Formats: sequence, structure tokens, C-alpha cells
Amino acid sequence: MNHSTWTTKLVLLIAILVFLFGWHIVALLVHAQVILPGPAKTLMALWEILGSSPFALNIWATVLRALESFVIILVTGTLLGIAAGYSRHVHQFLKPLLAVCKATPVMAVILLAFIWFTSATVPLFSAFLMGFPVMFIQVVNGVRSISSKLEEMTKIYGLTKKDRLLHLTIPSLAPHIITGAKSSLSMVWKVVIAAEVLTVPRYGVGSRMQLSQVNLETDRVLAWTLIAVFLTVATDILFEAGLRLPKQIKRMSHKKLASNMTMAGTGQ
Amino acid sequence: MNIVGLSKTFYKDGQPIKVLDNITCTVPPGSITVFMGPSGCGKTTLLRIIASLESPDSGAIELDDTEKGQISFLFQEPRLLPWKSVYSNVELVLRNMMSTPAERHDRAMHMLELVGLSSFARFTPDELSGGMRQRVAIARAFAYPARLMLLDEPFQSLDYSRRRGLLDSFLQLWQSDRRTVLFVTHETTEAVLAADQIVLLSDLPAHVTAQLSVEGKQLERKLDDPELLTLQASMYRTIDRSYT
Repeated sequence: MNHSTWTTKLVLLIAILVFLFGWHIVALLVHAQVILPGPAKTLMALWEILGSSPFALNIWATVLRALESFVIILVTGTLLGIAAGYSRHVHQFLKPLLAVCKATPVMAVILLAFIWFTSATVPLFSAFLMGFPVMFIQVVNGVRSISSKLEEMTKIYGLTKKDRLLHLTIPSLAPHIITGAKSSLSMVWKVVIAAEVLTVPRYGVGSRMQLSQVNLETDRVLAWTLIAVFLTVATDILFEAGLRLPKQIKRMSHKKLASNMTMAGTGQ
Repeated sequence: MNIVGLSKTFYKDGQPIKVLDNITCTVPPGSITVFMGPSGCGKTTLLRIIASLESPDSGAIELDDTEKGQISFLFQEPRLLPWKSVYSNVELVLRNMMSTPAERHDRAMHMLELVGLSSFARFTPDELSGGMRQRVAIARAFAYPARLMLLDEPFQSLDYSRRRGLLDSFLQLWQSDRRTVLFVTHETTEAVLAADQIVLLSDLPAHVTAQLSVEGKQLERKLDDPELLTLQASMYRTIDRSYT
């Protein structure tokens, strides 16, 4: 590990310690567990929650809702974004829906959805309406930024429509899809949990937060919030790791090729 | 190939700009014809019409039977897919032509070997220099089984020594696989080294001002050859006359 990596990690550790210390001091000053419990009390509540029996079920319910919404956003945003990127008519047709999605407050969407759907479906629907425009706009911009020079080249060299899609369109869109997916994923977590708080389905991180808040268990609200943060950060890290994988594979294959060439050069 | 009375006008802000004016010339099959003219005189438009990327307002392209079908195009930039390896960039254009992967692999690697890049097959274009990228584009153009090849100032962004190197690589490949080549450039040295025939174009609207033939095998030509020097002088005189 080099010097700069150590320094970065040290700065990060100091930032966390300063934050925890600040939290502790403010909690001491407030001196009311209902308003702001300290870090130690919150960690104890977290420990209790981790050991409680429906814990995995609550997490699983939220994760499943978030992932379902994310996959729906990814698929519909990409397909409709490609269609709208290539066809002005499709884009015009979808514009009113997009304008409504972008302008409507999250809470209004959740409340309306609660009137129309069951409490388990509301988080899915709300997350879709909030995350879809982000994904869609990224893909439309991606289609419009596909190099016309490369398109011309693929036509001259007689690539089939399938090959053009696989080797030009999708790779050109990939950075835009990744950006859209990252932004909508973090939004999905927030909206899903907010919808769970308002609609209180049987299982879910948001439901537990709401129940803890009703019972004035602020330490448990904070503990569930920490769990929500952890889920968002963990998916973000997994996402980044997934993106780095192809580069790492390429680097390894380059190294292998270079060592093979060296061995061939030395006659081994 | 016969280029017969080709004319083209573009419109900018409603104003007509006539680019090509009744271009007529004959291109013998299996030869290199260089089109030379000042920058912006419509040379690229001419190639784009031949490649069916633009349509002419009037006139026609009459192709020899051997030239019909696919066209290879060497653009001003390499136009390689940045996410594909050097090998894949060449192999990809063969997919519609050769059904077996082994055939495509052999052809792509053979072409990369001919341009001296077989050991860079797994690199991506951003890991290569500008000259190397253009060599990949040359390999791709020759790998593609087209009898007609269009070159649109493919070496213009490179320094003299790299340009000469690439031109030599190109001519070596062409000697072993003589296709009909239309080569657009504004470099007289490239023209006299590569051409069997040079077509000089005027400034806008472009029309043919002279058609000159060049004797001798391309790879045996030397720039200090008196005949080539005389030819270059004659080209400069024609270009000067078209300006006065």
C-alpha cells in the first residue's frame, strides 16, 4: 500500500471519528434520548436489531423492492430511451409523462400510489416514477452522442443491424447507462424506504423506522437509518466493483500476453 | 469506373454552394487514381458520392463489373471502435463475409502482420499511437474484400516520415492485392508516389483541370527522380493557372 493510499484512509478515519465525537457532544448537550441518543446508545440499538428474529426478513423485503424497481427502471429506461433517442415522435410522446414525473413531489406520488395500490406495491411504483426519468434522459443523451463517423464506418463496412447494435450502439450507450443506473439506484433506495415509512407494509426497513418513531424509540430510528445507509453504500460498492471487473480482466490478460512474449523472446 | 458529369450543390442558410461542377473522368480498374485539389474543394464530397453516402444532383458513377459490391474506405481519421481490441476492429468487418471464426481470425491476423501490428492485436486503439491506429485502419480496409477502395486524406494528421511509412505500407499491400483505388490528397509528393493517374481539381466549384498519368511501379519510385520532379512542377503550374 503506498503513502497516498495510507493518507487517504487516515483522513477518512479522522473524518468518521470527528463526526462520531461531534454527535456524542451534541447528544450530551441535548441530554434527551428521545430527541438525540448518542452513538453508543444507537450502536446498542443496532446490535439488538441485528439479533432480532424478523431482521433478515425486513432487510430482504426492502432489498427485493429496491432491486425490482431498479431492474424495471433499467430495462424500461434503456429500451424507451433508445427508442426516443432514435425517434423524435417517441420522444415527444413521452415528454408529458417525463415532465409530470420530474415535477411531482415524491410524497405526492407515494400518497396517490397508496390510494391506488397495496402497501407492498407503493414503493415499487413510486421508485419507478422517480427513477425512470433519470435513466431515460441519460439513455436519450447517449443515443444522441453516438459518433456519426463510427456509424458511417459500420455502414460502409456492411455490418448487420445486429452487429451495429452489439458493437456500436450498446458500447456507446454503456457509460450513459452506467451513470443513469448509478443515479437511479441511489434514488430508488431513498424512495422505496420513504414509501415504506408512509405505507408501512408488513416487512421493510421503512416500516421499522416508522414503528420505532411512533414508539419514540429514536435510537432504533437512527439504527435503522444506519442500516439504510449501509445498504445504499454496499450496493454502490458492489456496483463499482462490477464496473472495474472488465478492466481488471483486461489488465491480467495484458500481463499474461506480455510475459508470454518475454518468454518467447528469451527462447524459454 | 467512369465518373460522368457529377455535380453537387449544398445549401447553407438558404444560400446555394456549388461544390462539384460536371466532374468527368475515367478510372482504370486495378489502378490508383489520385484526386488533388485545394482544401475544401469538394474532394471528400466526391468520395462520399462514390460511396453512396451522398447523392449527386446530376451525373452518374458507372462501375466496372469487378468493382461492384462492397467498398473499403480509409477515412481522414482511423474510425476504430475504441472499446474493441485492434484484432476485433479488423475481424468485425469480416463477420458478414466469412462465416467461420477461424477464417476471420486468419485473415485479420494476416493483415495485422502485414502492417506490423500482430503483436498489438489485443491492445485497444487508445493504447496505440496515431500512426499505429491508422495502420489498423489500413489493415481493416484491405481485410475487407472490396474491389473498390476510397482513401480520403488518411495520412494528413501525421508528420512526413510517418506519412511516408504508412504510404509505403499501403502500397506494399496494394501491390499484392491490386484494387481500384481513389485517393484524395493535397500532397503532391503522395500523389506522384502513389498514382497511376492524377486528376487535378480546381477550387470551388470543383471541375477537372488536368489529368496526368504517372509511369513506373509505385514501390520503385524515388522523389528525386527527374521525371517525378518534372511532373510535380507541371502539377504546380496547373494549380497556379487555375488560381489566376
